[in-house]
Amino acid sequence: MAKRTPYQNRIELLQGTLDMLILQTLLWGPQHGHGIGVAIGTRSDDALQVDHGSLYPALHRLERQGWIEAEWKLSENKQRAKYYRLTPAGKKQLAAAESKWNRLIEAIGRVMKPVR
Amino acid sequence: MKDEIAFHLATETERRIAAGQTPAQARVSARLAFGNVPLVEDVTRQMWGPTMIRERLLHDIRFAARLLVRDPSFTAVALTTLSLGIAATITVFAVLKAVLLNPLPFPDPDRLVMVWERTPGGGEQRNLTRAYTVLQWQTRNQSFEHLAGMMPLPANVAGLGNAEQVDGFSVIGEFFDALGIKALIGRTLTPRDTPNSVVISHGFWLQRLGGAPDAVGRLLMLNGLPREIVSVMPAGFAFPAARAVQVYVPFPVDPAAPPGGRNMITVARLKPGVSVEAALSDMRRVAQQMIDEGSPAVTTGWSASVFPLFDETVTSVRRILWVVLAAVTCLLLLACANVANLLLIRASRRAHELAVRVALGAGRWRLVHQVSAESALLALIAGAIGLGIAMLAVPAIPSLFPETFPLPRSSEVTIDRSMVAYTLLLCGAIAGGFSLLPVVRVARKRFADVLHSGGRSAVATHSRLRRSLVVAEVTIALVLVLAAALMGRSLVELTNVDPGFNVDHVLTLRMLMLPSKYRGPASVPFLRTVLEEIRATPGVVSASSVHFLPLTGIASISGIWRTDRPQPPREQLKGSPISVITDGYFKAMDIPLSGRDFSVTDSEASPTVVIINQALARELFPNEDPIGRHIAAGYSPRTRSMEIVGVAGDVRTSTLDREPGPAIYIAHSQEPSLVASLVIRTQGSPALTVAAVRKAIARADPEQGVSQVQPMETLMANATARPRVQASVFVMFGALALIIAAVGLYGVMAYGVEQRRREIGLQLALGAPPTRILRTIVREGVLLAVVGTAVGAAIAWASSGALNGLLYETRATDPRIFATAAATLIAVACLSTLAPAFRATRVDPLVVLREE
Repeated sequence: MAKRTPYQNRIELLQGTLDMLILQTLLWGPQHGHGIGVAIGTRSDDALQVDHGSLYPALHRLERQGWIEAEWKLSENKQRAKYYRLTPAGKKQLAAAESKWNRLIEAIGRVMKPVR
Repeated sequence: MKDEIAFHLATETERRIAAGQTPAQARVSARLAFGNVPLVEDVTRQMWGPTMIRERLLHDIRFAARLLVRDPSFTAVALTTLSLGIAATITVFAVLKAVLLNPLPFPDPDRLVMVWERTPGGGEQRNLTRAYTVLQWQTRNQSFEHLAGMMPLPANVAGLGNAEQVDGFSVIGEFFDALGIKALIGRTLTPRDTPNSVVISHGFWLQRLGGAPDAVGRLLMLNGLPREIVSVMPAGFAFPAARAVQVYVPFPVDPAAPPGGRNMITVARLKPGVSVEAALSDMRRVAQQMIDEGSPAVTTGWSASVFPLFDETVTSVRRILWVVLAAVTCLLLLACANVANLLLIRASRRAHELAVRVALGAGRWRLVHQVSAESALLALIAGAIGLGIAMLAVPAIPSLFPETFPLPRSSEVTIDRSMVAYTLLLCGAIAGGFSLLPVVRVARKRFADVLHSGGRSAVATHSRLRRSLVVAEVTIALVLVLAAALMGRSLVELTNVDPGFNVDHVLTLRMLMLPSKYRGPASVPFLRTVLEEIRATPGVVSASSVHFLPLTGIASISGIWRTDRPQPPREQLKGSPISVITDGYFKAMDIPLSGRDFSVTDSEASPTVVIINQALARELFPNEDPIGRHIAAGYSPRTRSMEIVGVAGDVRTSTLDREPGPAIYIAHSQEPSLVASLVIRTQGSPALTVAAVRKAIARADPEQGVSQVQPMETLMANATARPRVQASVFVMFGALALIIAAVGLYGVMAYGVEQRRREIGLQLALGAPPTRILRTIVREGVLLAVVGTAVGAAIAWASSGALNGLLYETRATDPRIFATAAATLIAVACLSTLAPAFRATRVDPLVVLREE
């Protein structure tokens, strides 16, 4: 049987955060689609599970926006894979998304933990 | 992208194997984690906007083309109906655009107008004017840059091969400057030109002078006088109302001469910024001024009117063209409804396929795009074929109309770039309309239901839409069939009209006796010699002449009154046609005559005699014998007192559809005229005597040319040509509409039967008699037809006014014709339902029930 992640341990990705997570992952260097998905999972201690079905549309969307670039390279196990790399525009976008995200977190935090 | 996903799956599988799963388990779970591969592919592809859309479009079109090829019978029916509809629409629109929408082919055409005299009381807004008046208008008006008068002038051309007569214009003023057209070679006429100048048309230059570059300066024998060619006009130049005119000569202006007869039309160019209304009030002022000054040319009550040249050119056909456009639009709608129906039926057959594809992950919009691609492809192909047909049809249009009632501006009808754009627009609209159908359906359909039903019950959902389409088809078809029936009926009425003379075996020709030799009384012996030469020709039974033939649209008009009663005031006098004839006219035309014919003894010296028609006898001499009485006509000084010597049968003179009114005949020997049309009754076919008659005229004078040599039958055919063209166009539309509606009804019924085979099989198995099934199905089809017919009849009744003026002796709401048209349509509906109904009765219950 396939291993199932218990429901309570999984966090549904907030709308629009996937793009930011992809960009953030690519900050560490070029990576292919599968690698990005795995990296997001590992770095969040498996709390965030990227739905593979939505990963590729997101990658292509970002590529079209000009935030990431792709090129075919050989992977670690000598297979041809499509590697994505962050562009300068993508870095700027990441910074913008991050500050927006921080403001959101802060705002939500204030609502959830009101001043006593 | 496929590679990328494959790589992803492979890597993921390895990861899972490393995590302790078996390879098979790993492969399956990796796939499960990924989700629906084609869907992801599809969604991912959509991220790529335009490039992907293009790729997808190509794919859709290829797919659509394959579908169309795979179902040739559907494709053939759809393409035939659509392309015929499109071709008809394009052709009609091309005509309408050239005639009614395009500006006239002159610079600043909006400033061109025609100025007319207006009769007292305004009964005739467009009366010809006199040369004298034109000169007065020129100096007195404040509205026009140029104002020119033109008088039709039959021109006898000799010295270039056979003597021949062509149409000419005798012009006062800057005719060419008013129209704003410069000569191709040489210079156009100016008021300083001597009467010995002539301007020739491009066609005349090519035909008679072989396009000689040195034509300007050559001499031309016109009506027996040498004239110098001063210019050649460019190709295509013509005054709209007189396209046949080939020579233009200056009118011999003599300001001191007394005003002549009213025989001129005019054209004028408004000064910039002057409106037609302003020009009208200016011309009214001029007319009043002339009356106040006691001008000999204008009497109390007369005035002037001004109309745009464009309106004057197209008025005669404006209504019929719009009606035809409406009809052809109906036809196209009908064709579209039919194809929409076929598409729906086909889509129903594909409902199961579509449902499966949705279940497999195809996006709904993706499906809609695909179905739309199919209708777009269909519309585009039909548009291309339609455009091709229209291109073949357009050059034939001018020949549909006779010379005497030409379609104005028909030479300007072309299929140009704008027509291609129009076709594309049309195709776009059609494709758009078709695409809406599947959008509504695919977007709404619950595909699971379709899958559950095993593809059988997907029908009922839009059968209502299909039925309403059929009703709409029948409605449109009824309107068109009705229009065809009315036009046909009207044509029959018109061709059954007795013109009052015998048309068979009569040859006619027109001749202007050479003014240089035969002006005044000299024309009398000459005409007599010509007629005697002709009468002596073998095969000729009798021959005579009249100055204007009936039904040619030209006539001399004058008021007529009894001399033994006070002359009625001018306003009360109705104009009646006056014909100047020679003896034997009534015999040659086979018109009954009581009293005596004119004879050689009626000469200039003897008292003026007249023959009146029965209508005039009834009007002026009810219950009296008119013979021996005296009447007067305002035609000339000699006609102020005439003794009636005979009463002739009534003849339709102006047009076939107008009842004959009062008319009189006077003798050429007493009222000489240079214009004569010969009527020659022949033993055999008139065509056989043409050469002999030409020789006979040449014997009388070799320089004398003739024109329009044709049998009287042609003249009659010309008189009914417009209604005939009209009727044949509508009969064609009606027939097409009937066929298309029949196909539509058949399609829906046949499909309905196919879908209900199970139910029918069950009924048969349970013992229902086949006749009952037959009846049910026929009743269903006929019901649709009856509803459509009723709606169509109501629409036709309400819009019957559109046909006003296009029908002769036929009411647009004639209940008998309505009934006939409705019966025809319902009969056709019955026929087209019968085949599917019979097929229903032959359903084998065993086979059908086992299909489950």
